[in-house]
Amino acid sequence: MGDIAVQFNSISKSFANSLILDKVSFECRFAESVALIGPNGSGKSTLLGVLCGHITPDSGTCRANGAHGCGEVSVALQYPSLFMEDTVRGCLKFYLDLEGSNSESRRRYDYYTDLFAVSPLFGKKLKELSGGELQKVNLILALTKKANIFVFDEPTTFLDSKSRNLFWKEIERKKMEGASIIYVTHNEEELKFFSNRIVMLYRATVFREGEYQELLNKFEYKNVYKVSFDNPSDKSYFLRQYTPPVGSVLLDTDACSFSIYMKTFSDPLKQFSEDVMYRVKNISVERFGLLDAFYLDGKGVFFER
Amino acid sequence: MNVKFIYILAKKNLLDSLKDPKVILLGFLAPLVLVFLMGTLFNFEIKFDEFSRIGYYVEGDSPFDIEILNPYGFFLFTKIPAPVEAGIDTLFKEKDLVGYIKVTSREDFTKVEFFKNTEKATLANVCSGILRAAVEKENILASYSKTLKTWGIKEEIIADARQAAVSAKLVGFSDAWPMAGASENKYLRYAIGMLGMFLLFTGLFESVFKILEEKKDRVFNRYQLYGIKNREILLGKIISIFLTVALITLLFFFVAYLFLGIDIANKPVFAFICGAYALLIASFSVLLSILLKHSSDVQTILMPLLLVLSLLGGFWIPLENLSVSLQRMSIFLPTGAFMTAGLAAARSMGSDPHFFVALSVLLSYSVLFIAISLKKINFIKKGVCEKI
Repeated sequence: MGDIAVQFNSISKSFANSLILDKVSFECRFAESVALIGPNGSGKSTLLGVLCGHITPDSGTCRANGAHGCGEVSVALQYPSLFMEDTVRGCLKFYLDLEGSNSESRRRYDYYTDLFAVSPLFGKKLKELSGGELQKVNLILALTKKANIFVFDEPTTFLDSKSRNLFWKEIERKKMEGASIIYVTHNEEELKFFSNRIVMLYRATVFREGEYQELLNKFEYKNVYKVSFDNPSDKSYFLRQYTPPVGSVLLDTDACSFSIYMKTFSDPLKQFSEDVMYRVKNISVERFGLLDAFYLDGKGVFFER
Repeated sequence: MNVKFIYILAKKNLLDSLKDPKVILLGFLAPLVLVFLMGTLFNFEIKFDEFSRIGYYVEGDSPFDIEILNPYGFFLFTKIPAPVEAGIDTLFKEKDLVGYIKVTSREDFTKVEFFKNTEKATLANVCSGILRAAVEKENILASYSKTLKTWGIKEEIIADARQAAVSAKLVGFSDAWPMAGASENKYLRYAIGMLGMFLLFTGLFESVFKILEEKKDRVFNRYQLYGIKNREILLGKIISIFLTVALITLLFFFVAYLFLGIDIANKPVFAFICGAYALLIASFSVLLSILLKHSSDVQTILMPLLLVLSLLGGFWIPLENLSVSLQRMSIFLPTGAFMTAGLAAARSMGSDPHFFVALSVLLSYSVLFIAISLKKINFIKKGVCEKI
């Protein structure tokens, strides 16, 4: 790992008497990618806002490249922050001009517009684009900027799988070149495969920090059974007769489904006869992931381990 | 201060504005519609006021036809058999007149006098404006008496006002508003008034709407990521609005010259006045867009504001038809200052005592608005960025 690229030092921030960040500290090095995860409202985007210089923390400091501000930082926030009346061409050209149009920046610009295949969209206004197309423009702007720190807030939301793969390939390449990557995601795969370290934000503080497997091992849960029904009455009928195994947690996800978080690999539904199981529409089994931990928030399980 | 950023921002904003149909609609059509609406409004006020008759007396075979004042039945006239100059106050009271017109023939011209009933100031003001418009429409070689020059305001009132203005170290009160007549370009005042309105509406609506949309889309967040400072954003905006307004001015001059034969731009100083006014509009609109939060506020706040400003600027009814206090106040309003300075410049620079005062009013407002905007632009940062 290289030198420290970004350093958050005891950042605190409140909005309208609500504490969003409470003495949050962590750092990200060059040639490293750090994923920020946490439930909605845990302060992830606020933290990125602090890094970009959009938000002034109540206390604490944020240093990028050893300096305050966002000089060599390139950002693609959740909200594209673009003038939606612009055409795609006009928008890209404008930010290329701001970046300083030279042969190198134009090469990057051509490369990324080709990579994400946005040329057919050049004549369209941004407001006419689909969510995925707009996100591509947002990402092109961020990737085109000459920077050694890249910040992404849910970068692959709305993207199709092809574009998602292209994006992460590029991120890997940037990382190989020594860039520092900080990103927010709600996708377990992106967390598992593309992060060197993960910072778990929970209730305004850094709850845990470490590598994926290391963090996962701290949770005792192994599998998640997701059970769905055709209608709410089937679900009610089923649940009336069901007692979850000791140590597992049953979580209502919506009117027609629920999840069972298991600490062992045993089947939690084996006790049921066929006529009861007949009412189940679908059962899927997934490995417990870090993001699952946040679903358990409020069940009192999150802190138990 | 990075000049490159300012240039890029200004260029982009300018091109966006010229492509925006909202600019065309609100900047060009709205003033036209409003002129029509406001004109009708004033005319109705007179038409339906049964007690607001105007007395008149026409001496000999004057070419001035009293009916030309009344092509749409806006006035009620009472013929007074003979002028009663000595007891004109009595005449107003007895007949309950809003004003009194006296038309007399002279060797080389027709003398038209309008005496204002100062007890019915507003209506009399409007009537005097319409009278003057009618005189201009007929292009009668008219000469105005001292009384008409001051539009019926009694001499002692003018003297008091002048004295009050001088003692308050304000501008001297002017009784020399431009009069119509054969020697004067009869479209001059209207051309300048219309130009002022176009500039006001286009500049304000275009920029306020656009900046609010940019605020909503959090475009300034992204600018800041490129290292652009707030003051560079502000200057980029002001320059682009200034250029939009300047382009519209040129277009206006071109149309006025080509189709109406009005040449009001032949004096460099008039271009300077327009420039100062454009700068004022640009800085005012940037300030407004910083203060406002939602595009829905734009019409709610801007329309009444623009109506008042353009009314007091003399865009709809000539300034001399306003009451004395409003006339004096309008000098210190940017739109009034534009009209005063613009007219003085178009006629001949410096002939109007208000010229330099009006000019300094325009520029001082601009500086004030820019200064407040620089302070307030942090609103953008606090109001928008912190919501991410």
